[in-house]
Amino acid sequence: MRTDAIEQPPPPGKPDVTSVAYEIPREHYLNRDYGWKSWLFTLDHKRIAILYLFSITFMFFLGGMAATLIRLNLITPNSHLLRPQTYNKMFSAHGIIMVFFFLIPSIPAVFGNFLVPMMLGAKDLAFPKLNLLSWYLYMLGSLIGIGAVTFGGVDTGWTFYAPLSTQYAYGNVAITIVGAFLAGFSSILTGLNFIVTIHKMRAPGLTWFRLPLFIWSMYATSIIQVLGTPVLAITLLALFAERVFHLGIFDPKMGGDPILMQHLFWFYSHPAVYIMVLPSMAVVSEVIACFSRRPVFGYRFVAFSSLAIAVIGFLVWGHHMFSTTQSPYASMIFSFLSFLVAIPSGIKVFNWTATLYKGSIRLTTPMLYCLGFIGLFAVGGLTGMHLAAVASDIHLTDTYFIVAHFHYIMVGGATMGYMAAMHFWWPKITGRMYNESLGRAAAILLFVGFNLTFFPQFIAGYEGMPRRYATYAPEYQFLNIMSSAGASILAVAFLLPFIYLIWSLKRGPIAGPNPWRATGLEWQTASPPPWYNFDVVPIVTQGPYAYSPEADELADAQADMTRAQVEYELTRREIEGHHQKEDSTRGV
Amino acid sequence: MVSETQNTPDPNAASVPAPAVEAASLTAHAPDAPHGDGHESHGPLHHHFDDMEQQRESNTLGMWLFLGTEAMMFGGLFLAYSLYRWMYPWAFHEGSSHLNITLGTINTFVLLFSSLTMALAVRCAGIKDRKWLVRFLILTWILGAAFLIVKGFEWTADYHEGLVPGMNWFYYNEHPAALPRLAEHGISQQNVMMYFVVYFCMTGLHAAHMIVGLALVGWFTFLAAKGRFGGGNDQPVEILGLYWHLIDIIWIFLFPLLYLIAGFHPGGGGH
Amino acid sequence: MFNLIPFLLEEASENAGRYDALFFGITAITGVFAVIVAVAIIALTLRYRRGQKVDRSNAPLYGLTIEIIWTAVPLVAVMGMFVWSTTLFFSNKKEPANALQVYVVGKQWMWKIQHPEGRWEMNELHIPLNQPIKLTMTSEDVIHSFFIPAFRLKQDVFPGQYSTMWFKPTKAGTYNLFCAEFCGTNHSGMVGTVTVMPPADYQRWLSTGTYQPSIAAQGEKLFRQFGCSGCHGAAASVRAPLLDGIYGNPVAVQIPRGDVPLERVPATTLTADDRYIHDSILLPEREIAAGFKPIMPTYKDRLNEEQILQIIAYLKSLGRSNGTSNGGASTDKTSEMSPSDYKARVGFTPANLPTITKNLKRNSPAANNAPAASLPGGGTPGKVTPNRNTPTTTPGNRGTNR
Repeated sequence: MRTDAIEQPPPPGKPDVTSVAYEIPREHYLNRDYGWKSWLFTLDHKRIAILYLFSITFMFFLGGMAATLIRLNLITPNSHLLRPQTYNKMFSAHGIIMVFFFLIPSIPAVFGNFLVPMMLGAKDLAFPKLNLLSWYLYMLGSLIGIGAVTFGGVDTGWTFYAPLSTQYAYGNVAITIVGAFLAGFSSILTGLNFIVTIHKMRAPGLTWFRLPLFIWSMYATSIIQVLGTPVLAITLLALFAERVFHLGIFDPKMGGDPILMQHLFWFYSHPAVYIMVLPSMAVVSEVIACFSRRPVFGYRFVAFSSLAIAVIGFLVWGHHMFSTTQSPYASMIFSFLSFLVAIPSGIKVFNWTATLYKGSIRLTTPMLYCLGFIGLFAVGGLTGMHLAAVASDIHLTDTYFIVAHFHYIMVGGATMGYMAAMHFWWPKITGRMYNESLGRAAAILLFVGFNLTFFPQFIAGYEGMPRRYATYAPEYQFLNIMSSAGASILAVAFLLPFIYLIWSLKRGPIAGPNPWRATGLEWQTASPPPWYNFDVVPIVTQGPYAYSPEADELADAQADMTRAQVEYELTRREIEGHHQKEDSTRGV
Repeated sequence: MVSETQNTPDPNAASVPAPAVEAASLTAHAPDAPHGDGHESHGPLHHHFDDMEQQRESNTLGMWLFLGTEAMMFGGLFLAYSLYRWMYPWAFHEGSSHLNITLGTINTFVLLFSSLTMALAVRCAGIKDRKWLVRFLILTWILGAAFLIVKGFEWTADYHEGLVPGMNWFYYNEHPAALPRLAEHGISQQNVMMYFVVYFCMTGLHAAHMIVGLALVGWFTFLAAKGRFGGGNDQPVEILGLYWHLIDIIWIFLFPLLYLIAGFHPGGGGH
Repeated sequence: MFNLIPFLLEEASENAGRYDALFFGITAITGVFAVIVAVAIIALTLRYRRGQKVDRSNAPLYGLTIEIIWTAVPLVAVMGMFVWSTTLFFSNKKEPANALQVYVVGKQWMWKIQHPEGRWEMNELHIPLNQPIKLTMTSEDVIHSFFIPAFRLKQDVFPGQYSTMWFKPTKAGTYNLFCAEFCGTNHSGMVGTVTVMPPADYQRWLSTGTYQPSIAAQGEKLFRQFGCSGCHGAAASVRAPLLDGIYGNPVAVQIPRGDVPLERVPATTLTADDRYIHDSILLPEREIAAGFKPIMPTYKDRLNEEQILQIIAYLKSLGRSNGTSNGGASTDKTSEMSPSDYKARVGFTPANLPTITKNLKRNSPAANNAPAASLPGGGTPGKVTPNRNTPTTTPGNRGTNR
């Protein structure tokens, strides 16, 4: 075989067929034991991450199907496809599934679970049983949730505003609430597990400022999960009690206050946005450093900006209520704080950009996703300024401007980060490489399709198209058709990785322990990793991201040269062999 | 990033250039030691921890975080309480006057005393006194159950009086004489109902925690009797103790806020 | 086939122009940052991509100066935007005195709109050009939101509360009216139009179509029909405050508290606005006219929101405060009563009667023009009445004081 001749490791950022020089290790976490029991009762954080990966992907496609129906229905202004009732159920299902069952668990539960112990040099999370329990809670919650939104449906939107949800809405509101409650519990346990693990399970020498930025961001995320989610839990319990027993807690006719419900709900649900996007920032910090081949610029600023986002993020919930009868002075303060939360996000974006300076940049698939993330997150964050300004928000709130804004954060931000993580750590998780060209194509398609889908919605929103409308005024049709056209590209961009990643499981080239030549602890062990992550306990003596662009350029050039020589040699031999063969046939 | 590695007894690791820095605690577990799920806890030390101290600290930190989430969860209810008490001060006064302060006080002392017995149980676990550990756990269980039984009597009384919103609310139909008194103080019976909504939500959530606590204490009594908390494995009892004290502390807040606000009657108020 | 509207939405109210300046101002400021980031990413990626022969030596790991710059510059920018937007927001809160009052009731899934002269319409709002309009809105069921994109205005409408918004249309035409808060099955059908017409046309329009007796006349009918006049009328035998000329003026009320009998509760002053009258009808026990016994029954299940609005309009028609009505026969009697009068009538005297009287006298004439002047004056501030009274003096604020 020609590949046998190549001993040179593959150049960083350029995994190709030559890497089959590596072998999948004999025993790793995936093949250690078999059978459904070994999965459903596993306490290994990596296997639990895989369980999450499967369930979350399933949820993502369910939510995506609801989105497809929404976009199809909005091609015409008169709701030809769905009845308004069905349309309402569709966008509620889309919101509930995507927020509670996909976005919130996505990166923490899959990649956090897989990577946090490995990046810390630990054998597992601090509480493996709790970790498994949180997966079961998630499964229970999400199955109840999707059962409720598919059979019978819910038409309250994911926000469950009272008194609509408690008295006027039809459908399985109470059951859905139970589902979201259980999923929330799962999220609390995951966050708690991470905090303890990060505090107590770091490898020797791994001080706080030697932690990868991924860990800092996950830490900030976990704080929000642990402190915010219980408030959602009690809100959902109160809603449940109100819906079932009609106690009047949020019913103005009985002396209750519907705005109390909004306060409690957004006290969690605004920070929840940061639960979704902080983990993506975690991924971006890792990927940008690796593919610029240099340390993240301003490490401490990026680390502390994560914490700043988590803290200030708790104080801005009132900006969802500018158009209610909230006191104008309260609105003013919430507006001020909402403007402030932009600053740490800005610091991150600038520092990532500065990381590119004097780097040696490789535009691999994960890198493309991350650059896309920075662009889209910047647009999402900057349009957030329009919404933090009270005067400006009053026209824009509850229109498609909001829809576009939060999709830029949640799809352009959170989901792009998720895809970047998927591609970056795929070789670590599975031991195999995917098709790089298809990967890049999908990343670019996602960027293009996303902008085509959601940018027109900014315009529609400014022009006053309210959200959650099954039918709409005909003047918005052009923008909606653009949106739906973009959504079809988006659908392809999400299906494509699904196909080539699965394909790579069997046919992908073997990646080796460190195909990207990255410096994180997780890359210092085999791919897929062994049961306890490390054959030897690592000791850390320096900070993360010990990359050197200059050295890499040099190594690259040498590797290229070697490769050219090898190619040349192989071709030469092939031709020779061919000649010999021809000669011998001729001879016979 | 990784500059040094440490030797483990695992022969697979032999290929790694390993300086012989010795830290016995780190090498306690070869990667392929126990099969099965690899995490079954037969001894006090779980396999993924390096040493007892790390495990202990992790457990304690985890429990405190959990208590933090509990505080946030009850916090939502305390917010609702504050809002509605601010909106309907007299209704809360009126509602509170329907509660049985005597039973509430008894219950408070029962729960406080159970915290004492729990603290003693933790102490006994620490000094490895298995006999008294079991006894104190049983005593704690009995006190906790007594609390719930008394609470049950109170709720039943409320139910029969027609003071349970959403299920059985007829008190003011049976006692129309009370209505002018409400009017005198500017409230309607619906406002009183809001007090009871808050009351049942808060005490209900507290009781749910009590039930979980009782189940745990019962389970731990069983384990203690089997001698599972000997040999340096007393930390689970300590953690159970933390949980039990949290329930107690929450009640210490609930009791005055719910029972004592009717206090010493209006007119005598010094405002 | 498609109606390709220009990206600039019509500016049809006084607010819209200022709004657009703010919106595009923010867009421009944020756009600068977006462009800087985008250009930097593209340029750096091209320049430093793998294999480019460029100087990569001494790549900086951090730079305090640059970190401070890119913290401070955005901070200045966002504070600028904050000040701009907040100034506009508060200046919009000041509603003009001569606003035309229109009442709106939202219910699943329609808007019912009633003009002061009695004409009512469904899902349509006709208004005269260049005349400030004030909408007083409530909902009969769930939360709705009254949204007119061409005016750049939106206000959520809550059950059990009044919310208000005002605008001055500056361009004749027909504009979209939407419900912006999801309100159930037919949410997207809860739409209508706003027609701005020259005043003359408006007058003509008022006199045609579905015409009911004027809204105040309907209110007067209800006032008698439901027996309000039995107590609140001039010849009433039951002791209840006279309501003539009360609208828009300060009234002395006692807000019952849990721990003190009513007669010991210090009184405080409120403006008798829509919110106050609405709550007095539905929740009479909440704020009691100072010196009166809390004997009024609630009309909660007997009057609907529309009828309450009609009664309010009637009370308003009884002499909207013009500064002079206060001293006349149509005054809230509480302001004139001596302590012995109080005691003779209701058996007790509020603890701080002199203060109330003084406050009422001071506040009355100015009550309309300077709402801030009627902040709670009675009682001992801070201790007795938490700021639950202030909202009523701040237009657009939370509609009810519960």
